Amino acid sequence: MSEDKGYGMISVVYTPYSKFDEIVRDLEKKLKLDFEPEFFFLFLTESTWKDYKKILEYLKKKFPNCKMAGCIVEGYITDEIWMRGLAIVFFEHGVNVFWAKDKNTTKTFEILKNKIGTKYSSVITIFPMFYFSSRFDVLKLFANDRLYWFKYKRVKNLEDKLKILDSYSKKLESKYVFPVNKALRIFDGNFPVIGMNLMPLEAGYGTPLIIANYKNIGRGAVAVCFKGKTNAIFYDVFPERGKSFEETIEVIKNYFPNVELVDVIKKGVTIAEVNNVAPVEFLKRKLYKGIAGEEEVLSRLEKGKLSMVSPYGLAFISRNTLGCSCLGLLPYPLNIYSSLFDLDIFYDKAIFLGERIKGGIHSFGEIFENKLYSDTFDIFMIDSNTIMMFGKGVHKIKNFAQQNCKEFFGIFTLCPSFRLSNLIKAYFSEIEKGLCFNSSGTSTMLEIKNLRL
Amino acid sequence: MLSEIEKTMDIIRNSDVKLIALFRIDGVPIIVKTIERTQRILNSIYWLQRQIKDFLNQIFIGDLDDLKFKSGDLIIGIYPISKTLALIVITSDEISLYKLESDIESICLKIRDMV
Amino acid sequence: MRVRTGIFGLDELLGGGYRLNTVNAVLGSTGVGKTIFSLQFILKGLEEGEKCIFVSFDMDEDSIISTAESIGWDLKKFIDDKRLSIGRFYVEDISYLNSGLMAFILDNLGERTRIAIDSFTPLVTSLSYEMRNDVNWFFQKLRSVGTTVITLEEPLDGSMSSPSLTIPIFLSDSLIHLKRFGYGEAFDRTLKIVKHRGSWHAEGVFPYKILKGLGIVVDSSYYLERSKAKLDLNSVLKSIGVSKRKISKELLEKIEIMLSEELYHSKDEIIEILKRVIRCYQK
Repeated sequence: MSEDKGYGMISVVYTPYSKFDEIVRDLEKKLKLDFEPEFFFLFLTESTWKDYKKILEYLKKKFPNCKMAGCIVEGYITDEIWMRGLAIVFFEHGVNVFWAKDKNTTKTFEILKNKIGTKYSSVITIFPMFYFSSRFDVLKLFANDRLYWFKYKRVKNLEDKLKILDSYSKKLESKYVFPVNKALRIFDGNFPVIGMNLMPLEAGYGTPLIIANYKNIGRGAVAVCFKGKTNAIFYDVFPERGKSFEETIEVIKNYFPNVELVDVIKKGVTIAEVNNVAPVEFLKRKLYKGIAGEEEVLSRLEKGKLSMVSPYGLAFISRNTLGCSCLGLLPYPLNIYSSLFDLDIFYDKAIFLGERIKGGIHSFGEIFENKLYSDTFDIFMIDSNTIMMFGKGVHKIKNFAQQNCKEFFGIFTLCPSFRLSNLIKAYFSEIEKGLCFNSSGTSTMLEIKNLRL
Repeated sequence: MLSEIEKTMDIIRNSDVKLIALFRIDGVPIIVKTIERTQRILNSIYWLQRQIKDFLNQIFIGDLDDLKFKSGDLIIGIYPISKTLALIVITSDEISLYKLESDIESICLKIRDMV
Repeated sequence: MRVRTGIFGLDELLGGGYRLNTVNAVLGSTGVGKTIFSLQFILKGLEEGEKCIFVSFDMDEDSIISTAESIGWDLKKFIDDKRLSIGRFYVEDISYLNSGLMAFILDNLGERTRIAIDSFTPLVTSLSYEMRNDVNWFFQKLRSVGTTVITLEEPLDGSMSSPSLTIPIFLSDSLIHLKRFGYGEAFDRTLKIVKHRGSWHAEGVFPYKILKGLGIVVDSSYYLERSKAKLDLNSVLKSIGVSKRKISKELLEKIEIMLSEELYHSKDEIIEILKRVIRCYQK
């Protein structure tokens, strides 16, 4: 599909094949564009990301003057839906890419923000929520966890405990975690920023993979910037948040199953206690299930099969907005649990709950009803938790897109986030003013009306 | 058509998918692609040949989307293509079935268009 | 020397066509295209200048001509030229194998002859296993005079155990099984080569269509497109890592014969098979 329909030439090419030679054979037939692209967005999947170097080399030969960004996604939606292979979206003009990598979240995103400037109408930022670099780094994580837990257990008063957690939180932020709200709050909210905060459903070393201009940037952040007339939409499947702490609790109780109010000791991106026990111990007692050992975790990471999703979690209510964000609890051997978002803005009381999406897959289709335009090229991101929840039921998303969009390209990625000052409703997931994030149930869309040179 | 169907079935070939086959309702395998050629996979094919008609009947009478069986560390999935054809996929139980099932649905849609 | 069947896409699956002077059975239930198969076989012979004989126990000459016309084939000119002889016979008992039928065939032979018997089933309906020799004698006679296609009716209940089926099936030189479901879906009509004595044949089921003008067209392209390995002995032994000196003369001969055929297996498969064979032989 490459035709100038008012929004500039945009073309989508994909191949569901996984072996490199099959990919090349298929792409040779399909990569016959009617225009010279200025930028392309590459989406690799579980079956192809390990060959990213060969794929980039091939694409660089084909498009030597083209800027690009790329990352790993769970799947993509065109006229077919595939959880394998790769997809590429080509843009004739109007798209730029920047990237940054520094000591921590704030520094990285400040650099990125400065590079972006103010001339773009929408931005998609790609960064890893949690980065698994190597076996050595994961071993260090376990070692640090044990060290900080030892220190934590030795102190009695809350203030000292929080100091230790703060120190550990900074360490986690410097090596492993990009807390989503900390990243997005760097932006002013004057233009929409869609957060592709990556976390694979099954992690392995070297994931999530993020690429900018043919280079793997490791634990860095990329911004894909669109110039022209665009509209960005956020949607979450939950009811609106309450107007008080108690009201939001009621909303949660009415929506989720097995709800229990708990006391939490937390700081930054760390959680040390849930009802006076370590979070994973709390989970173990709730579910009567064992916790995976370190060797098992390392072994699964080696195979690229460490599950990063859980049907159980803690819901935190924001002091700022009374919105809510959930954090999945995984049965891995960590005494001090790592959060994917900065917990300092949340109450110290949380809600332990089980995952649930009322309305099934159809609730994710409602994002299409919020479209502003009818004649745009739409890039949308659907929470990849839907794949685990609904299996092949996710094919209905393609039907929603076909009914509502003129041209589209969709991806499955874990819980996309959003930053924009003025949001159209009191989203459940709005945890800071103009900042939405939740660990499941979110979708985003970028409507491209026209792209400027 | 057969070569197009075969190429489509090739999409999900990997080490965790032991067998992909297109069976006819009378138990005749139209296309069989075995990745693992072992006795137990062969036994599965023989078993399927005898049972496929009943399975397809169950699917259509019971208005089921598909059928899955677990045998040891194998998962045998039967996905109807039409009233007389079914796609069979045998996988290891270690595979991420939720993703594979979405891809199998895409393959079934493609094959349905072809036949 | 092969006899081309005239069925589009079938000859390659038979290794080039039927072997000369053989009796070839086509089995199928009602409506699969057995009569069209036999007419198409005959038509090919006529186009190649052969003498052809069509024997029926159900249809007379006019019905056969009209069946051919429905596909768009004109048999009349060949009948007028006396290149095609059509015989309608009435079955009383198997003694027909000894007299009238054989006489008719012998009276209408040419230098090269094709015979079609459609269908053979009425002749052998009341067959018992003791009559196997009679059928064998008949088939031997047919082989001595030409290449024959006989059609066999598959019972509607699918039972294949009666001697009227098993005896001709076992005695014939080849067997093609035509199947039809009647749902109108893909693979509704399929052809399977069950056996082809003394020759390579393709494995698997192949969809076919019956089209006006062309008759039966078999979709064998998928099978033929697959990598055909034409390998030479030296390169194969090199891949296996075995030298000729370490293999006995008898085994080497057998391997050379195998490799002289065009093989419908991948090179990797052949090498794996030969590795195992050499290992077994060495033991």
